[in-house]
Amino acid sequence: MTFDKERLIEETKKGLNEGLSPDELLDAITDSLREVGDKFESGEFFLAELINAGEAAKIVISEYLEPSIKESGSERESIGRIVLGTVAGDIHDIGKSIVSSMLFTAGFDVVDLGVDVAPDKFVNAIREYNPEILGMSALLTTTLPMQKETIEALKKSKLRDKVKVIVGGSPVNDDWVNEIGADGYSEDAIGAVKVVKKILKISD
Amino acid sequence: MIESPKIGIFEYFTKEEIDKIHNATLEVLEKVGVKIEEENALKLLDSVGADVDFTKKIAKIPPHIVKEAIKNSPNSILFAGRDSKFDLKLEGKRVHFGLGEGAIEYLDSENNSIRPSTMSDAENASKLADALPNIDFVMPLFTAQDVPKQVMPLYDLYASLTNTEKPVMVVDFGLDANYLIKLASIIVGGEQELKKKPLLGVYSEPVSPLTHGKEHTRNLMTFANAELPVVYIPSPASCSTAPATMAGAIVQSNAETLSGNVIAQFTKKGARFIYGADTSLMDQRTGVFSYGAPEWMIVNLAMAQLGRYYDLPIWSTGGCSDSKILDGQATLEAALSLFIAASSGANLIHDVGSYLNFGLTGSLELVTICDEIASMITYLLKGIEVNDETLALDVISKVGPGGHFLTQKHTIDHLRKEHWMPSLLDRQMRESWVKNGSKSLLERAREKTKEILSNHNPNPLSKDIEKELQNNLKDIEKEILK
Repeated sequence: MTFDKERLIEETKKGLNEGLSPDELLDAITDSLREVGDKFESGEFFLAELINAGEAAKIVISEYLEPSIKESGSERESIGRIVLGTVAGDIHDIGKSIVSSMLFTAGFDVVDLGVDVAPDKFVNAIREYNPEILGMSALLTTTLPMQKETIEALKKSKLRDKVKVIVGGSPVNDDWVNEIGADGYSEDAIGAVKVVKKILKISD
Repeated sequence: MIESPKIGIFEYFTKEEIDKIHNATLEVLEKVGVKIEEENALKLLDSVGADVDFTKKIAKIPPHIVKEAIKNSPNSILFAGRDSKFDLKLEGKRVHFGLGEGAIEYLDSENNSIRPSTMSDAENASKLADALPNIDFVMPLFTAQDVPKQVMPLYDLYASLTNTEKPVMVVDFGLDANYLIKLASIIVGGEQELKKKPLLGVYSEPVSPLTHGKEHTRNLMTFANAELPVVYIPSPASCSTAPATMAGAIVQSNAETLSGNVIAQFTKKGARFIYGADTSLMDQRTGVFSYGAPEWMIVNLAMAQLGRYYDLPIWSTGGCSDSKILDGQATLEAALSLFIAASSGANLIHDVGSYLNFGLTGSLELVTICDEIASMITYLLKGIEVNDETLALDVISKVGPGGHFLTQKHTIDHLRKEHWMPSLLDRQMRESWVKNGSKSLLERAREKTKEILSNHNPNPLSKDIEKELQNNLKDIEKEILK
């Protein structure tokens, strides 16, 4: 098991050159990621190690494997698509990035819009990517209302029924989720995958 | 165990203050003297030039004798484990943690009730200490209240010797120390072998103020001759058995332990004497001897600083509380006193997790909690490295403003060795914590303690040795009780 991005890239290139199919390599990486996830759950692996494994896999998959898979006419199987971002006025990146990495590791297709994302930008992204889930992060109590405004913008654009909305950030709790009419939240990044799977009725 | 603490030394007193305390101590020993109930020790001190009044049993000890004894004391002592991987080197700034012995009650943490402690409690405490990674030496914690009182110390010792491979220290309780040595020597194959592999140390006390009791002095001399580690320290209470001023209580404590060292070193040059004091106060509302008072912690700091001044291995005390139950007071006093004792640079810190209720009540859960505290303190005092790699300039510039470090190789390379990980303290988010049973520290400590007691099997003695130990214990018991 390695968390070394460069090595994973090398090994993948080598595998492709030796004639292994990209699908096989993808399966192997997906299995490893699941193992990393299990070891994180059991306390054996640490957060940064989990994220690193996810990031290394993400690069290898998007830059080396997916192009080959597309060439062969198929696509990487995804269990769902998620658009993520930190709301307008808030530039806190890390919580949202961890969620992004975790969801990717769990097999989701993640579109990360970055930080300081205005409501209309979220709306446009939903039109463009047509995700099952929209995730919004806000670390500050003062930027939390932007989650509500974004949901209102979705309603105005008649998109609210097309997408489930999850929210996150330290001031978020059940009351807030009910107040703004979101579909779920997790108190930390680690729990986000479970929330999403529950909403989409995907078994673990 | 803290092998080379980065800070490790909390120098509470100035050099001038230490000099003053030292000089005052010499004056007390020379002008007031100490009372010694053991005739042989009086004769010994008389023969080396002390001013001895045999009628009053008072020995006035001139400074040059005190200094010679200090000079002859080893500044490094081996305290051995049955398995040599647990050997401790008592010297310099090396800090080690261990239990205490003396509780007469067992705290049932489920309902906060107490009952008389038993030999089985002492066995469990030793087994627990054997398993916990931050406990370096073992004392039985509990006294066996279910055996004849005259032979209790032997059963306590047996409980520890059979349940741990770590070094064992026991309190003499006035019982002839030869019996303790006899039992421990069976494990290594004789008293000569025990000198080479000293897996037994003894703890004995003078009686404050300034009195060396008969049995305790004999045991001090017995252990000096046996070349085994001997802790000989007073436990006076400021306002009752020591002056109200802490500086005065320190002077008296120093005089008591240093005169013990004089007896030890002139009994046997190079006696493995361990220096210190467990000096506290008589609480002026309740009359108790406090095991959580800041005054007590200050004396621990003073004795460690004086011990280094004399270059003697140092004994200290921490991880105790005056609370009756395992509550916030218990963990607060235990944590603070343990940190103070460890940061003083003392070599052996005892009573870790062992004493509640002024030393009367013992709690296994507190031992488990103190193991975690000791782990945290070890990390704190060990300190962090500052070098090009740890200053992390490369990775700071690589990530730059607004990025993050989670996916950097530098992070992966360092996080495991750089960071401390709790094993008992909770860091879950509230929802996960609720989902996992909303357990308090005490509940988690109880679970961990139970888990260790049901699953940990200390490496046993060979059947032959255990049998011999039992036979000897029975023989000694018969001899004492006849």
